[in-house]
Amino acid sequence: MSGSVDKIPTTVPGLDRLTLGGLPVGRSVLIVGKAGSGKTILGLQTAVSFVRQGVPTIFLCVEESPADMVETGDALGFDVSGAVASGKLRLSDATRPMDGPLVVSGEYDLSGLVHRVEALVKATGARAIVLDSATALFSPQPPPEVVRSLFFQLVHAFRKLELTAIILAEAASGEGTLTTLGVEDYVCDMVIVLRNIVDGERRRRTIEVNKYRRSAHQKGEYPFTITARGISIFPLDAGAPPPPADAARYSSGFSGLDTMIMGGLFRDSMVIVRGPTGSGKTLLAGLYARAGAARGERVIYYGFEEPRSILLGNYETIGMPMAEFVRAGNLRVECRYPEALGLEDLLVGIRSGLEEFDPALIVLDSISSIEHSASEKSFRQFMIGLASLLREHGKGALFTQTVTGGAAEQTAPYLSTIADAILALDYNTRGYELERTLRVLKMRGSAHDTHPYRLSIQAGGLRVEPHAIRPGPVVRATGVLSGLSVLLVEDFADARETATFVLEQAGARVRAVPDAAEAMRAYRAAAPDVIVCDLGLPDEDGFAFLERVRASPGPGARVPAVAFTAWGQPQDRVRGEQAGFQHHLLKPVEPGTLVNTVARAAGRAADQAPASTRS
Amino acid sequence: MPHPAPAGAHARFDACVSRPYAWPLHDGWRVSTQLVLYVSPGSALSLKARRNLDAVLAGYDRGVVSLEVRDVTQDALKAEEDRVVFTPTLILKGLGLDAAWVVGDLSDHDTVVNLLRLGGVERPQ
Repeated sequence: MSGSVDKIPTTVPGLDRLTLGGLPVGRSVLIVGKAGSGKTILGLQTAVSFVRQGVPTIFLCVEESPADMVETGDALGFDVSGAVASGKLRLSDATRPMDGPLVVSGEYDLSGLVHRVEALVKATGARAIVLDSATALFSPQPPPEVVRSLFFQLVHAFRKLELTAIILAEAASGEGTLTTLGVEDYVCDMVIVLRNIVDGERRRRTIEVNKYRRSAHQKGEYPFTITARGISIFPLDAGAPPPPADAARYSSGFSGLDTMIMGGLFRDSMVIVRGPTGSGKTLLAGLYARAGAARGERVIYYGFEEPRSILLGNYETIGMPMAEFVRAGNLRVECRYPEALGLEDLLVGIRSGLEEFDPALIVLDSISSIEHSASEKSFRQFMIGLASLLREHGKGALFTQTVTGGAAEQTAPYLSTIADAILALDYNTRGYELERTLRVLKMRGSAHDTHPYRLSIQAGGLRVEPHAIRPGPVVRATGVLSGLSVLLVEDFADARETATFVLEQAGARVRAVPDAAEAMRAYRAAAPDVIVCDLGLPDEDGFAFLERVRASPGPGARVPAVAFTAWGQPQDRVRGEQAGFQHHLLKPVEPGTLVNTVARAAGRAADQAPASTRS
Repeated sequence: MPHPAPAGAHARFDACVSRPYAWPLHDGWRVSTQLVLYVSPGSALSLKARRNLDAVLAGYDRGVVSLEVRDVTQDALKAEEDRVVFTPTLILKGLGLDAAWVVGDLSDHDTVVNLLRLGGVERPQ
């Protein structure tokens, strides 16, 4: 379908995405809008863009004189005077003479204008034309049948001259016809409608591709703004093809997370980090930004939650200084309050940031503060607009989002669609302990660990460890561990509880302790049959603890020991053996694996049943 | 001249305010009225306009009212200068008014006559 139409891009930001490539070459396009809707700006912006692409263009000025058009265009930075001076843009005066009366006597046609255009095409080699506007051309308005025949004459002439024509027309106020003349849309291959709506207290502009013969296009109204640099449209199609399987990956800035998502984030992917206040979102955002800057990429960090000095100070305090990257010029930190800005202005600011600074990554911390400053509808338009902007520029992004109902709270479907990856941060309180978790909810185009990992905040960043036990069949009362006493050393409460439960189900008597000191006391009180010990422990680690056990007097010194850890590097295994561990269990493990390993350590035959496959 | 020559300054002033034709009479004061008709070749409307204009101008002194017919295909740049959009278009220049544009085939003869009269050019009876 769309392949049959030859298209020329307008390069008006966002427009070519709505039209899936641009305007139909050699055909007529109607741009309809009321006074002040931006028709002339769009026409002029497109004309200058055509000229920049090497397409000589004629601009027929009917509403305003060529001098006024130059002034308007130059004020918007289109450099109309430069385009005119280059000879590639020809402004032709077709304004109604004001220095004398204009009287109608009898019938007439548009041959005069047509021949003028023919002569200009011959002189300039023009391949495009803008008519501003059809409405003004037929003013005062002749009878409808006359307008129709004259307009057809004009469009037919443009077609014969093989001009890509942009015809501007005044929108009708009532229902029924699109334009005041009521005829233009029938003969044009494409119709674009500009609207200017007052929504609440704000003025909203929208653009719609109403018709595009022989081509697909984005349907519906899309917001746009008129900035100091012309029209800027935000195409809302955020759906993006999944990244190719071999897409380049880069570090999230957090090695633990990179492991969970099998090697890092995809280049140019969008990540949403969700979680309640205080769950570590900003920290993760900082790691992401610093990693990018450390790779020598440019990064823009938009902070919406606190002033710049406080944000930078906080990062400094937790051992993640940003100042060096800011000084080096590849990290830009911009803090602002979204309430003070309209969302469209914010979007325009982000777009110009993308264009001027050309960052590889951007961070928005947080999108929730934007959400709270706007209506649901405008926030949705903002996010979708932002996402398409980032896709258009091929940028990677991380957004933080504060959720109040816990990380399990449902994300709005459009946000899930936008995100290539969704990370959920959360915490639970267990007694006095605050237990943080990180979970990969979504990672488009890649395998990833779906289990929650426990997370700890430490100087310089974050650390994750998988949970101890994977979901799986629990060995119930098979008695494989019956009568065995097990000392379980595990600092994380949930891991301790789950492992205890699993071992007790298999018949073991479990003494569970959170750290090495308690473990030593428990060991001295009664030597167990098997020790199951985490390696990463607060204060004294698992290696040191077991070395002390091995060095202690008595037969208990040779009690079999199982390392139960997330440390899976070869050097961790070697150190474990040296410390006296016989087995090394890498978290997370299935319940059956834990039980069987403990059974083997105790010299018993492993249970047959739960040898489930590792996923 | 169809009117008696003025006998003095007073009479001449009198002639200026009251005589209906070719005002002012003195050659040095005479308004030369140029009519430019833009036509397109092969157009029935343009042909009609020419015929109508010829009929209208038949009674006028061609020394006072001159006519130039321009083909828009040949004189496109001049047509642009004169801001001609429709054809046929008749432009009346050098009248008491700055200029006037008449769009159409001039089937209403009175339009041109009235514009000339407004500018002080009367058709001889």
